[in-house]
Amino acid sequence: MKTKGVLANIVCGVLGLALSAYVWISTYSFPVDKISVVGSDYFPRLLAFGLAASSLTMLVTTIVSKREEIFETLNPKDPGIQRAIICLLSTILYVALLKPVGFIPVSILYLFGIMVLLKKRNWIVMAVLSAVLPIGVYLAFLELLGISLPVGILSFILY
Amino acid sequence: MDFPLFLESFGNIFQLDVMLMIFVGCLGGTILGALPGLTATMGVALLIPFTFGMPLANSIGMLLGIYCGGMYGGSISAILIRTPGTPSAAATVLDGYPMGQKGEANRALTMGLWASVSGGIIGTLVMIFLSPQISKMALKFSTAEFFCLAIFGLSIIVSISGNSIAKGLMSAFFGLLLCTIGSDPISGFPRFIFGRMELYEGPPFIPTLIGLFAISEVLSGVEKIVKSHKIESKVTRVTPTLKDYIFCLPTIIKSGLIGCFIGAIPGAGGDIACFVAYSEAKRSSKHPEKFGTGIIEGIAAPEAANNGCAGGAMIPLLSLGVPGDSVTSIILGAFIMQGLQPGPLMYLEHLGDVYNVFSAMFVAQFVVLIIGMLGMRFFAKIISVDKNILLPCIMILSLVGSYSMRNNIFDVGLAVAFGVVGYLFQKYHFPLSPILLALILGPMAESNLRRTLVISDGNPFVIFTRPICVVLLILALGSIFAAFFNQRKINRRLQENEEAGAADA
Repeated sequence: MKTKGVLANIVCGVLGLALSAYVWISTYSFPVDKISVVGSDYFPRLLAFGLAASSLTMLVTTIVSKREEIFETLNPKDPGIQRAIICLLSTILYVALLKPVGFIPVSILYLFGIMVLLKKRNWIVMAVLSAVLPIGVYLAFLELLGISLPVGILSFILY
Repeated sequence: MDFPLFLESFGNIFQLDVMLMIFVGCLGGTILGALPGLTATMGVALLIPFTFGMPLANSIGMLLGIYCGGMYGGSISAILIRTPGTPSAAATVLDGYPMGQKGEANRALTMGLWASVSGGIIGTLVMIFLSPQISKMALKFSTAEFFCLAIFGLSIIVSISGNSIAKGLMSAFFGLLLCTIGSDPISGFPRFIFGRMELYEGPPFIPTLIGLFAISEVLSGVEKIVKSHKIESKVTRVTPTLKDYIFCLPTIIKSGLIGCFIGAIPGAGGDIACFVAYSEAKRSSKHPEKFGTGIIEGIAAPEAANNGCAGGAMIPLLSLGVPGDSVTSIILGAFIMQGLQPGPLMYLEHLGDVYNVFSAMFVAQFVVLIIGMLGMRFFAKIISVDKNILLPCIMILSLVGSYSMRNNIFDVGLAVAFGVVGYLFQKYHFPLSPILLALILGPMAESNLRRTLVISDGNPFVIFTRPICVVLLILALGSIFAAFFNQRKINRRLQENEEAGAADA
């Protein structure tokens, strides 16, 4: 679903101004450098000023411009957006469980789950791929690169 | 130049054991370069211990092979999955990925390969014949010059901002603000770390890159999967067409030289070179409005530049003992372990070894070419894989790549967070490339600006007293104005096309 972008651009511009204000105010808590001419606050303030200037420029050009940008909306009722939200929440859960459960088990479940979400229904291919890829990646990282991925509940096998 | 000795060095390199090491290096480098999260720097660092017992030619052959292969390998994932495998391939995404999505992955990959090899040969030839002269120029760079180089690099943001320069600048300033997270480069004071020691060194670059480009693209792909069509990309050739190559040849030569020059400056690497070359190619093109939509020059320029940079980065290493980038800093360690001290005396006392390095680098380009041609069918097949299989696989590899840098779950979480940021930025038409450029150049800009001001006692006008700085600032201003006027021309042309289309309808 598409929508005209005046409001969206205004919100983005205001967020830009808010971020630059936050950065500017935060720099007052930085210690004053008594030796160096320019302290820790110098560059962040310069950038906050630049961000504020470019945000204002965008706000002005949005209001003045006759051409409107068309955006796709973030409508939670849209099935695509719902899929993206579920994928994101699954990924956050994956990250949270990566260390305690282990790379291989979590990746198997994650891969299978995402393929189901994306309406893949070839169960054999899904099962094989979900198992082979995490095990293959684990072994490649361990044997070829010397990088050990989290083992989690499989520590009794993999250690 | 001692030509007999130089030719003899080719004889040293064309030995079975040395060629095998070069092949292993090029293959490993290509694979590492293609996988987001794994870089040529990591590959060189991991393989250095294996080179301890090897003769110099073998060890240098393998390490240079990884370097050259890694520079090419980054283009594969940039074109196929919109994630540059190495920072040096960041600009390749801009046209490489759109070309892949149009079903022209084969064409994009072949041009990426041949432009890489051509740029690498140009860089190597410049390294061989001009290294003493270029190193003198590189010696003149001090803090003020580095700051101005960063400004010149950042000015390119305007040309890669797409339709809205204001949004491009907002993205860039956001990226620059991300660079201020972590310890202050001068005083060490921790800024904006919110109590997380993992942020003490700043947001880790690779997880940020993976999040912004790969994870955001996966989220976008998951959202649009029903509407997306399967992309067929048949591998019909492993070389670009003669027409494409001749068309891009002036761009390749120019970009190779740009990359070589930028690589010769210590601290400036392929990541800067690729954007400078891309911007220059767009500026001088007859159809700048097509850049970003998937055109062949948009791949040829950055790929020639980043491989040209490899030759350039060896120049300060060999002639001054100063590494040109992170990979050459590790190669410097390899030289020292072999009992060599790079620097001016190396040309006097170990000229044969210097020529072995030149020959190995030259031969490595052709080995990369062979590996690229042999692997082309496999690479192009990736894009034809069903998206509901490809997307979760890319996500897993992205998360693993983020983890592998510091073995830290925080980095994985950070990558996901940046994935969301990248997804939202794209939704509201904020370009991501300026963030990437800002992340690369921000630390260089801040530390050199502050050092310059400390040295000059707070006087910023000292910059204008240095000729190289003045040239770089003029180039930066010129780049901004040229990009601004180009964009207006593009917008006018697009509007005319729209009106013509509406009238026909």
